[in-house]
Amino acid sequence: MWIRGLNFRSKEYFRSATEPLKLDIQRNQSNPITVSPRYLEEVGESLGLLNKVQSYLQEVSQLGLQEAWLGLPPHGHNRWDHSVGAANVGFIWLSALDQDKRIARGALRPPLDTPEKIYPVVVLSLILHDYGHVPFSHLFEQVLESINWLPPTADGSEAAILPERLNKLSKSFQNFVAAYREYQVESDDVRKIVSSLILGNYGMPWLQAIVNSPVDADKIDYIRYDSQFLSNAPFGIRARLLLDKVDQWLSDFLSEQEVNHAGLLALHGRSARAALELWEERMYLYDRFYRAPELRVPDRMAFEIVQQYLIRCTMSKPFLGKQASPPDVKSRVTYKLRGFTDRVARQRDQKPVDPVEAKYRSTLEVMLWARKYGGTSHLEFGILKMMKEQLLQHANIDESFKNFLEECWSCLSSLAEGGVELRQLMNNSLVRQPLLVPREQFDKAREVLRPIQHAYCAEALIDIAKMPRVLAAPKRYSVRSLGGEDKNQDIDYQILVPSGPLNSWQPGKRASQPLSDEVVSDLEKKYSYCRIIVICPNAANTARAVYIWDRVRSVLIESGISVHAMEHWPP
Amino acid sequence: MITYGIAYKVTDISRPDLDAFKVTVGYAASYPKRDPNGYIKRPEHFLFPKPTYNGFRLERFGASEVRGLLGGVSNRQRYMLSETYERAISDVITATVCEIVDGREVSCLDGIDIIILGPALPKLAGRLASLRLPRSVRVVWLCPMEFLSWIVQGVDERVVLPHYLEGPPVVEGWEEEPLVQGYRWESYFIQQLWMTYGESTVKWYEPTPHSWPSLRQVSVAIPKEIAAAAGHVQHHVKEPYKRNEKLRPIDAIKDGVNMELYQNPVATRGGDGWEIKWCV
Amino acid sequence: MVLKYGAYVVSLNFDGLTTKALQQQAEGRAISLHTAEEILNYFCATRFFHAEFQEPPPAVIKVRGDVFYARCTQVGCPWSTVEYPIDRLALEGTQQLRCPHCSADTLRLRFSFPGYRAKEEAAYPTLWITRRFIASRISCIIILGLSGRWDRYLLDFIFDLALERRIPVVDVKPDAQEKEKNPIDNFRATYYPSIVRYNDASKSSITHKQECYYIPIATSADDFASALRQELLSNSKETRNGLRRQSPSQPPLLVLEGIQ
Repeated sequence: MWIRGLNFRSKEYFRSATEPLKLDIQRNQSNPITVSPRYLEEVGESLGLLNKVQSYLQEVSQLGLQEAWLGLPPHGHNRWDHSVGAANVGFIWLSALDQDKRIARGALRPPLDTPEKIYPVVVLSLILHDYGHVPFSHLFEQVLESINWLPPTADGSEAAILPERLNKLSKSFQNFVAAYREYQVESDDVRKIVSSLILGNYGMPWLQAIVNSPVDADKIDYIRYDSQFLSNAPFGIRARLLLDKVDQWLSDFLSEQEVNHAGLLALHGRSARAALELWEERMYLYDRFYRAPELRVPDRMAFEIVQQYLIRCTMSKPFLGKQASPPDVKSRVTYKLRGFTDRVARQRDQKPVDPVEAKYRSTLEVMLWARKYGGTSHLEFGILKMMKEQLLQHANIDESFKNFLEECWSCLSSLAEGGVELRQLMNNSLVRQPLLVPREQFDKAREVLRPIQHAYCAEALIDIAKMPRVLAAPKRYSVRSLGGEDKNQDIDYQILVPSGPLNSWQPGKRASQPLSDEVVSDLEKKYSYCRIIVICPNAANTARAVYIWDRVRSVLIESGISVHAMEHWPP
Repeated sequence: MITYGIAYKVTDISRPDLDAFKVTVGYAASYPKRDPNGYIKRPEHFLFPKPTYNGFRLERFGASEVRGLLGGVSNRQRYMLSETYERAISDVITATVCEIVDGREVSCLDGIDIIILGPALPKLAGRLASLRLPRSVRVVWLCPMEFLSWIVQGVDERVVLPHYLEGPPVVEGWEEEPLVQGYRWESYFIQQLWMTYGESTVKWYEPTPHSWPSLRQVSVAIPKEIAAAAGHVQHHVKEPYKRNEKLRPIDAIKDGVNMELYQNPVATRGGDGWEIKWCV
Repeated sequence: MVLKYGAYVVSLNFDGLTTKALQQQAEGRAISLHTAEEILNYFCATRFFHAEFQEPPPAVIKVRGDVFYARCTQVGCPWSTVEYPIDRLALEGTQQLRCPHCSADTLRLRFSFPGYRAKEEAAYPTLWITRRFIASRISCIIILGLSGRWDRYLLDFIFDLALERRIPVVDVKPDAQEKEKNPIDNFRATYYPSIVRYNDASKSSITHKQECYYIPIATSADDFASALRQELLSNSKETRNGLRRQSPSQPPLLVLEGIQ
């Protein structure tokens, strides 16, 4: 019923249950810092975390559908393994700060006023940090964002789902309170602390930095995890910061860190340098792997299926009704699914509901309901297949569009079964070359291309992929310039780094300024673009496809958007 | 060809504790090959909150700027309000179209005309396009000129009508306007047509003698389906229909339209609306 | 609260009394921070490479500076171009105002009062940099003894922060409940209608979880402060995580969850 302690240890960081990890980073040159796997297992055991957390996270693949596009089985790369890895990183991180006495007295606040109290909270938060993910996760968010179905107050689907999920773990939080009576808190308080840390709004900056910040344990582990995956995948790039010997990079990262009197995490010289390497590696992975055109081609096809399915489920009550009572489900249960018209207020005595909020809630419900189609062998691919079948069975969708969807599906299933290679699909389906537009013009480009996509929906797909920010913070907040009226957005001051150009961050340089977007602007410039591609499945070289590509390009130029065709294409 | 007429009306909700508005929508259908040959859906209200605008702002009355007598001047608050209203209307109409297309027993292969009373909205055109409807479904917006007082939304719909509607009818669709084409027919109305799948030729909606009254008898010609839908939406706004209530007669004359021509003396209750036989 | 719980004090007053009171409590170790640069240096102070340094003293962040400023009238002296807060001057010995830079008897005192837009603008960098450092740790904003009549830019800042972080704003003054006499409530209603007055929250048309309230409490600042002090220092289980509603006979305190 509970997850055993040994399941909390990651073999990537601790080779065995008895051999401690040694970090040679202490300031006073005394015995190296040793991190005990036994202590980690004890902490894990004491959490009393329900087994269903492990089961759920093992069903969600770390890279979503991209594993299927690479023709690899999804089992080996799931979110549970990654969550354990992240928890191990957080544990090691905290151990280093604690053992070498680097946490200033003023940085600890009740109820987490000693490092001993923080260990279980860090491990628990990092184990659960992906628990709010829905199937497809990032693809799902992209779909909603593209049709403006994300409420402006939303902090992502994770923020919407996580509190409900955590509510169902009340037994685990009660176990926590029983195991750690010295906290003198209620189980509900533990849930709120964990939720706050995961969502990025806890009021202890250095602890928040470990769990969710531009340089958190999650990023450290998923870059390692995905780099290892890439080294075994049939994809033509290799990560540069492989983190093959994880203690090597971790030692660098932890060597010159401290938590100052104000509770901020200071990354001096060597630690800042290691963080910079991590950001560079992350951006490299986004540019050459996660958002690479080779993977965007099948992603965009899947996107179209998911988008169509969600639109229909939300706006068409008859269509949703058929989903709720599928004839072939063995349990014959009728699910209560509510679409747009069921969620908005009809009577004067009901509270009016914002239409975007209504549609958003409806899609979340559908995605959670659709999980049951994933199964254990196909994960998200099984769900995608179900969506495709429901759309093709529906009478009132244009026939030529259905044929187009069928063509897309044929490409995707060939990929998943290994019948065609990714590069081959890209060469057959990506028209001419990608177009680059500045990231700040993303919204305008998307709106300008929307009617074009509708006009050619049965012939081509237009994909616009934005590169992420270098600093992936949970949220950005308004910032007013000195004496000015304009408000920009930037991250809170939680982490300190050295001043000066990025290449001047060398060992021994003191951290003296807060980390912000401005600090990494040089690195940001390299990746401040969006990539637009036109996809015609297996018809990239036809005259019609080239015509559509040309229309896309001309519409962008006529709208005043700066467009560049990608040079050296295909690579 | 089955014809559906959709009408809607937007009204503010006047309560001191509630800053909201409602969209009341209804539709009527005519089935030429069936008996009874028509249907009127009982109108429904959909309530939405108005947006709140936050932030300290100074609005000074200057000495030279344009105020916006005919629209076209941006004001952040009005923009938010317009966006909220247009989004709500578009969502409600989209859900109604889905109900018509997916919920009826009649197959779309027979061909469906959906006529919406009022000007086209970009948000609605985009939503309809997202549905990937069969090509046998044609969507038309009809805007009587002058606007009928009993169907306007309390705003100047002229603001949303594109400038090209002042010119002669367009025979071929221009590729710069991929989703909606429009023109002004005589002096009676403005027609906007939803273009599907990159079509280059335009199939305008043309009235048939059966569905339109003689032009000598009325000063504004509108299809009976949207006249009936609009009339009953008006009823529902003033006093909502109850579940098993009879169909109320529509008032005799409205803005020169002889509504008696659209009366439905034969109406039987059933489900969410009434099955009817058209007089015209 | 500063000394025991590490609280940060943001003072809008124009006098140096807050700093003096803190110095008395902290055995002379307390400083005031007047500019964005000083606040930045304070929060960015580290001791990794300087093991012998002491922890920084408690600080008072002075948003509007001080009503008294000193300026040197000696041409060429670096102090002739800046207005220096008078609480920085260590007036020992003769108590004579001498310029610390040029040692001449050329310091002159000046007044600098609120009400001017320029003064409000000068406060902005201080306010904003403070916000960037500590906004994530704020669970509630309590306004004590501020009428709000001349402070619309400050009110804009406060309500903008509250709305962005979804934290409640508590307004304590004897006539807080009387809408006509409360400029802060009027400002909120006019410019920040999304922040709902607590008593009207149940009737709001906003259906997503409402986390942003304006809570007027009709009591004096002294009564409120002593009740607050009593609750926080009692160290009871209930108050470690927030304040609890008391019986109607006592000054009303509302649940403000999430106080660190």
